[in-house]
Amino acid sequence: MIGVIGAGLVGTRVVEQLIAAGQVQVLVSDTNVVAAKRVAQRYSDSTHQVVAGPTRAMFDTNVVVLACPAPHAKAARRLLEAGVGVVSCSDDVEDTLSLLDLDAIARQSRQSLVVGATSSPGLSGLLVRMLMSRFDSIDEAHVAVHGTAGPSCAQQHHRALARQSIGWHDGDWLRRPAGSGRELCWFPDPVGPRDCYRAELADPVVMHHGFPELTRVTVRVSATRRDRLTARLPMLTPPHAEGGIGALRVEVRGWRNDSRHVEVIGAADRVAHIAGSLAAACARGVVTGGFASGARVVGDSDSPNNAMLQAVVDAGIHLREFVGTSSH
Amino acid sequence: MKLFRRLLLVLSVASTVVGILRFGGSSKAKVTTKQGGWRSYSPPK
Repeated sequence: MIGVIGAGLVGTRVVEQLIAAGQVQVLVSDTNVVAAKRVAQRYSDSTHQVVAGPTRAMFDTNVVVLACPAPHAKAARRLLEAGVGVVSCSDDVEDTLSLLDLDAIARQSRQSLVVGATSSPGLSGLLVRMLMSRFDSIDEAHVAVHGTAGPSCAQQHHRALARQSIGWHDGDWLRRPAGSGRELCWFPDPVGPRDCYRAELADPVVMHHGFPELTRVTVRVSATRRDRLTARLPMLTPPHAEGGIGALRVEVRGWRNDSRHVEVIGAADRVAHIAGSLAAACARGVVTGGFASGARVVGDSDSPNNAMLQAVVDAGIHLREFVGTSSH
Repeated sequence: MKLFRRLLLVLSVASTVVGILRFGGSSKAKVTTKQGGWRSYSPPK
């Protein structure tokens, strides 16, 4: 049985994708009991059993997807100590660092803890791993993300623009004020070009864990003038129930045939759909034993990356690569 | 009165500059994607 904590947008998409992949039993839990029951009712049928239950019932499952707002580290620790595998959809930097620190506990319990199973981090790492085959060696990865999933994700986006960004730069962590470093990033259609800025996002931390060979990792998020201006204030208006079409853009730089080479790949879809599809694929991967024990990130060398990428594509997420023109 | 005239002058100059910057360079035919752009990609199975 697979458990899902959180019956918001991402949790709902996780359940949807698990059912689509043939998972027979799913347990859903949320602080909002009505929301959990609604999800259970919507996806239960004669062949699939989706049950809404209390959080303590999660200890009886094989793997739990944490699709609730951060922090996840405390819940993950309890689950791992009880011998339950964990997939976390957290994209908060501090929470991600705390989750990666649970490596020893996960190994001791012989369980897998998948950290950052979302769009960014998550799909970004998977795309970097996929692009690696086109290079002799890679040394830079630059990620840009546009859009948010549900209200909690929007609040996280708002907070991220008010803090300090973190980036991996030539063997050291580089901290810069969030909202700085404007860069025009071209996302796949229908999103198109967006001004993106530094923000406190977890991708460099996760990428550095999964790809130690990278010397530079940056992540930027799209934001409007209003986002940047009001970042340090409480959210002036309540966030939308679901953001519009989001997008992810991954640029990898490295060496091929003794010369510098750049590859750009991306995807445009609803952020909750991307996150839910990837988290569901990770949960299935943990159940089937695809992940080794310990704290794992999507895209690292010991993860079932091809199977996860195929699951994401099968979920209807269209990958697009940027084909530019030669400067000569 | 003099201050008011100066204020009007500054505002009119500023709005002219903003107008030129906002609408002066807007032409949709300038960017072409004939030679490059986003192409659908399927990962090898």
